[in-house]
Amino acid sequence: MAPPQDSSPKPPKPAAKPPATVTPAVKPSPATSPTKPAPPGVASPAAKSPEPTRHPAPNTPVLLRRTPASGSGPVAPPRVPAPSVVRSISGTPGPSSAGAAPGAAQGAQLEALLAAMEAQDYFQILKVEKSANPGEIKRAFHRVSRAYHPDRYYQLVDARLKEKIMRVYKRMTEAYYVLRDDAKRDRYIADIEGPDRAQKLRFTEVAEVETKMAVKKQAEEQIGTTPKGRQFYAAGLFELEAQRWSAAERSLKIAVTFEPSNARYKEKLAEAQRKIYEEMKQKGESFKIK
Amino acid sequence: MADEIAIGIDLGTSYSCAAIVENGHPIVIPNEWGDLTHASVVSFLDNGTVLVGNNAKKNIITNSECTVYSAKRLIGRFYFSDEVKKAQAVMPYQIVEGENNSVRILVRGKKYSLPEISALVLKEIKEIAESHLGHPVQKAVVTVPAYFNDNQRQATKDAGRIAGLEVLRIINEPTAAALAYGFGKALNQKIVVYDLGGGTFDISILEIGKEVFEVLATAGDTYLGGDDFDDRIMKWLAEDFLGKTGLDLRENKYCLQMLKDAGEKAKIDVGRNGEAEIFCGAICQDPEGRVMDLRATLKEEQFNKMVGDLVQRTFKVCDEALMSARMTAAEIDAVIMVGGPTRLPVIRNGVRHYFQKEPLEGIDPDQVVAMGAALQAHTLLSNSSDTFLVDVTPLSLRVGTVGGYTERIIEKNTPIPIDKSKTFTTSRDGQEKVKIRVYQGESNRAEDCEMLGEFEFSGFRIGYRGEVRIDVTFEINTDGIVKVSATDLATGKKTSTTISLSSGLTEADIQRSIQANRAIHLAGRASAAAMPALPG
Repeated sequence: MAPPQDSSPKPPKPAAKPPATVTPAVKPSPATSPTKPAPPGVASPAAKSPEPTRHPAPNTPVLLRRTPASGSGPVAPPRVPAPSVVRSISGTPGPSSAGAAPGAAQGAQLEALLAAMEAQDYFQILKVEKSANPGEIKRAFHRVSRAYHPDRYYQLVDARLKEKIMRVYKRMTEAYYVLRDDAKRDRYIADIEGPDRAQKLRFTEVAEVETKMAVKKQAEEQIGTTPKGRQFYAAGLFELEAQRWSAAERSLKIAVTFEPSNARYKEKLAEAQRKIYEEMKQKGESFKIK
Repeated sequence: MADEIAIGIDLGTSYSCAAIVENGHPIVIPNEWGDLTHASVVSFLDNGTVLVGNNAKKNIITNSECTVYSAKRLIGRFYFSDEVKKAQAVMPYQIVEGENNSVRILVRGKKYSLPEISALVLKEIKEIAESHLGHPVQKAVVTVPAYFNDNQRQATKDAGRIAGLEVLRIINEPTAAALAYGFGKALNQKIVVYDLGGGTFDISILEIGKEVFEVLATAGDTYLGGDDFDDRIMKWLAEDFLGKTGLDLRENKYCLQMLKDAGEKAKIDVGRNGEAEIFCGAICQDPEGRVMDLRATLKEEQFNKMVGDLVQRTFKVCDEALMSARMTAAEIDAVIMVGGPTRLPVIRNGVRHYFQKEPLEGIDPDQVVAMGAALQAHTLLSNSSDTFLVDVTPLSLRVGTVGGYTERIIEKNTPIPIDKSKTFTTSRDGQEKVKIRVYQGESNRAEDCEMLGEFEFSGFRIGYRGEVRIDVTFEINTDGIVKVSATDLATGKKTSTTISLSSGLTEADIQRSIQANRAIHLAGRASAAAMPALPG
């Protein structure tokens, strides 16, 4: 798990970080990119003059520099090839001639990244600390966007490769969407630090109706001062919901005997009795006809 | 790919505009007469040709039944929607029902879908661009109001295809405006785009940097635009006339058109000069056969009072957007105004007051969107640009559940592209198929949301209710268009669909429309010679 490695005395770092994200934006630093000579198929497209080389510059160093920060081992390998995917793609406007080999290699790299992402939490995907402030999260998202935004690969001919980039980027957007919202982020942290981490790596929205119902139900169940009263009241509510009116009436009557002054109990009891009366009335008519 | 030309098109309710990037700068493309904006009006002439643009606009009165305008108000809508009913009451052309609750326009005995009408506007623009550039144009970025729902986006994209354009991307109008404003300036600002068009109102809050244009929130009203301002003037004129003469001009569609024309003109005059003289000669005859004129004077004060509530409505939407972005008006660095009606002093003053800031000068509200679209087209086609957009989905995406409720899957203002899944289950024992209804809107009641479409999922393992688990995945792509797929978690069986219902166009329909569009000859176009025109 990541937390132990992400040593928390980070607060001073925010000050140091922004420059780290900004510096690579100064373009003529491709030489610093160690991933540059990666894929074999890249060398061919010489058609594009300075752009292809300078293009990856903003991406590569950033991603590398971040690697040690987020720590966990299995994540690192796919991250290194990833920028090279980016690089080679952006450098090949019409790579159909370059053949299937580089496409396949890039595809495999993206596939590896996608597979790695399945085991990563959102902090790892965006490569930020759990303590990162909203500004850092935003910057991190912009940084990955620079590398993986689908617009950058619009010209890519290989639709399957494009699709993979889209899948990578969608997960990044998702991470950003959750982490930028304090409430969602807190819930997410609780989720991934809990025992079900593996199942909760992807944030699950609490169902609106469910939340509302749950809150209401909980509030209802809290009503009452005696345990027995609460118990029968809850049973009564359950029967009401199931539209078994007389069973509800029975339970609620018992609840009222435990807490004769509870207005809520009496209200629900009255509701159950009204329902019974209504039903009786309907049935009563038919009895008369008989 | 010899011709890597792509233009940006602002397909507006009343006017459209096209731009292209030349030497790194967006330039608006004029037509042969030097017009920079072109009325989104399509007039079907009796010789079988079609007139589009500012010349067609003149036909709204003389050839009213065969002249279609404000098609954008109807595109992507269902036949039963309020907007369609409203249009039927006021539009001189015939709006009829097509298959699957779709809307069709009946002109000269032929039925046209809304994308087909819009495609004619796009065709005109395409030809204007071609004759200006001297090259064929096959690619374009087309803009839509940020608050357009999925159906409306899909229909707009279809329109582009029918017009023979490869639509590289659908982008939101306010986002395009922000792009035109901030592109290449290395700004670091939080800006608001206040976009009041002919038929729609959008507000977007963006954070723009050197490379990133990130939409923080967007809100809007697709039932509010400059047309509503015209309506107010029309209503006032009509009631005034009724009071004086006992004749209701609104009973006759011809008179109504004259009124509409007068209303629009008065609105512009009042905005420009603070007063408008309204005169419609021979607008009608009374029962005795006397020809009547309509005369009135509209003062600015009076006009402001008439439209005050409309202006206030836009600020309610602004409140909503700021709330979504968790910002206050004071945090905004700049306000960009988009759309013709934002020239009105009543709007400018309102905006100044609300944001405590002077709206930016020097941005043409009619052209800025097309320029942004052109920049985006240019960015997509070139590998050199570092600019990228992060946009959001304007409306929550929902799935219909039992009992008329909906369950939210993707919240509004979620950055796109994104996908999300949710697991659903069957409601009956032994259920063989489920109907997945997709909605867009902010209510958990289905009836208060817009239904985008429904599809059936079957072939999953049959079991007791609550036992079968079906995973429904929603994907919103970079065009803001929704794709839905369902998977049976037990068997892995999958089905997917790009929801399209109200566009009502199947792939075959689109292919047919493309052929039909090619065959249509645009009247008065010099470049028409380049197009093989079929004899009518």
